[in-house]
Amino acid sequence: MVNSGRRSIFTRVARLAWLPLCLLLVACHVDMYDQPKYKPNAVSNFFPDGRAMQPPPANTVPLNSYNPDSPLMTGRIDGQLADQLPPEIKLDAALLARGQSRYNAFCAPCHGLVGDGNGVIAYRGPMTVTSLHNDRLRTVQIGYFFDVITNGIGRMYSYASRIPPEDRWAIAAYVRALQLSQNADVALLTEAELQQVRAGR
Amino acid sequence: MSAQIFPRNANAIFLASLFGLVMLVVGIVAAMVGFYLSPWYTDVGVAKAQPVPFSHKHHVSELKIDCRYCHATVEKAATAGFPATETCMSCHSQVWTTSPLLEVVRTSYQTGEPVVWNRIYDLPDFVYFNHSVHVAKGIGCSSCHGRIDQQQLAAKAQPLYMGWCLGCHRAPEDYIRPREEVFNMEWDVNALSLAQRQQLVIEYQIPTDGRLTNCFVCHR
Amino acid sequence: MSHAHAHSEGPSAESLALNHEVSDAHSRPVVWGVVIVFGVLILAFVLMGIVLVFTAGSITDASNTLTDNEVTQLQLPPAPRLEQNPRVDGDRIIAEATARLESYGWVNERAGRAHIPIERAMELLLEHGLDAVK
Repeated sequence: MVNSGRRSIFTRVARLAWLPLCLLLVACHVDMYDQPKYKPNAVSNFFPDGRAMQPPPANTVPLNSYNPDSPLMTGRIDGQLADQLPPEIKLDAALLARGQSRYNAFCAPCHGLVGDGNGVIAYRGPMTVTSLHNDRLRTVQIGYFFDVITNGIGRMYSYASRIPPEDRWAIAAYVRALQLSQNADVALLTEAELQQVRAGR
Repeated sequence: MSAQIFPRNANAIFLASLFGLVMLVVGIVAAMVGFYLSPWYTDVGVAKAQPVPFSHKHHVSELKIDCRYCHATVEKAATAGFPATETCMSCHSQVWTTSPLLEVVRTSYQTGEPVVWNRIYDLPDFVYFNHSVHVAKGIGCSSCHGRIDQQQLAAKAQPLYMGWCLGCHRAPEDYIRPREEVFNMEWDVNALSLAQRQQLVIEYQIPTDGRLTNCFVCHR
Repeated sequence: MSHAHAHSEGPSAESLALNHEVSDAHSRPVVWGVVIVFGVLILAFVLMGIVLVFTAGSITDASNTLTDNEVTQLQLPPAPRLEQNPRVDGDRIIAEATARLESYGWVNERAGRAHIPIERAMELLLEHGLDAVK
């Protein structure tokens, strides 16, 4: 009796022994992992240039109140370099902080954190980088900095594709702060600060 | 002699086989799990050949170039932004102008044909990761990309398993850092105490009621 | 299987009576074998960990960098020279610039021009407007 009971359990289990073979039917599908859709920077075999990210057609502008000729976008008022910030940009602590973070990321590699043209790249590269601390750049209109960032100058490439216009104005304002920090009229300073200036600390 | 069909060590062989069978099954399962977690499968730490042998170590650690100089959209868009050839050329029109290593870049700049790089971090297409929100909420580059500033050729630092994503979504206070330090590669999470990090989680308005682990947060 | 059985030849009387082998294999050597294998594995991991701790180099290793003093003594030609340690150079440039942006000092004492910390300059700029520079 015991013997036959054991056998029946054993046979029952043995009959199910084919179940693990079902695992062989499992296939590895990657359809969900690699769906037929375009993601940024992907390769396309639909567009003739092979890019999934198509550059916008020429003369494309964003929707809404976008005006490509406004001082905000050109740094110019009636064709002349703007000598003040455009009306959309307010000079405040947030703007300067934003400008500082942008300046340190995009400009400091060459122009240096101080703006003296002694960035790490300038130190290594066979090039002379313009210092921001000279009379010409201290007296030039603020639109000049916007214009240079937008269009490049000399060997400097345009940064328009990486820095949006609002950030370019923030950088221009921060450049003014940098210039002030390296050439401040002592008449602006307090007596305590004058002591520190004299002490060189 | 009587019918003794089994040799006298049959019991021993039977026991050893049973043991061996169990060990074989355990071993196969362990090997499969191990393979699944290992760099052979996950590619963690495996540097890929690229058309240009670009070194993050050189450009980040030695030249002190900010992440955003090249990955300019990381704060605003889902993708960090792969640099255009123009970005490379804004320096390499001046330095290393005759290097054969950069011939690919120069050709690309002249012809407008993009350089085809090999992807390192390839999320499944059903996962919608967004760089900008992570950066804005104080998750640093190095939390996912590791010490990229110490890598010559870039390699994956994380296997990108869902459990790993959830680890942070369940307990963001274990990984969060101040926003100003997001691009600091050397930042150590333990520089702030747990209480300070929990304070950051509140300050940055990161939901802690479990919403972050809802399926639709990452899958749509 | 083991030497303990070596002296007894052939099946025992009991085995013959029951028609199957009744003596068990010795499990102790098998258990010991498993224990030793795992022990050796753990030992190997620990040893590799120790070796890595002592041999893996640090990124801030500056042992191949000449100090300024050594540069003077060796009478090396003036800069630019081949870089000894680009990371140290980069750190130095950043540190110098940061120190400059956080300190006071004269730029041109006769003209009454000083350099001031950038945070203070940003305050002054907000106070006096963008033309404070001129």
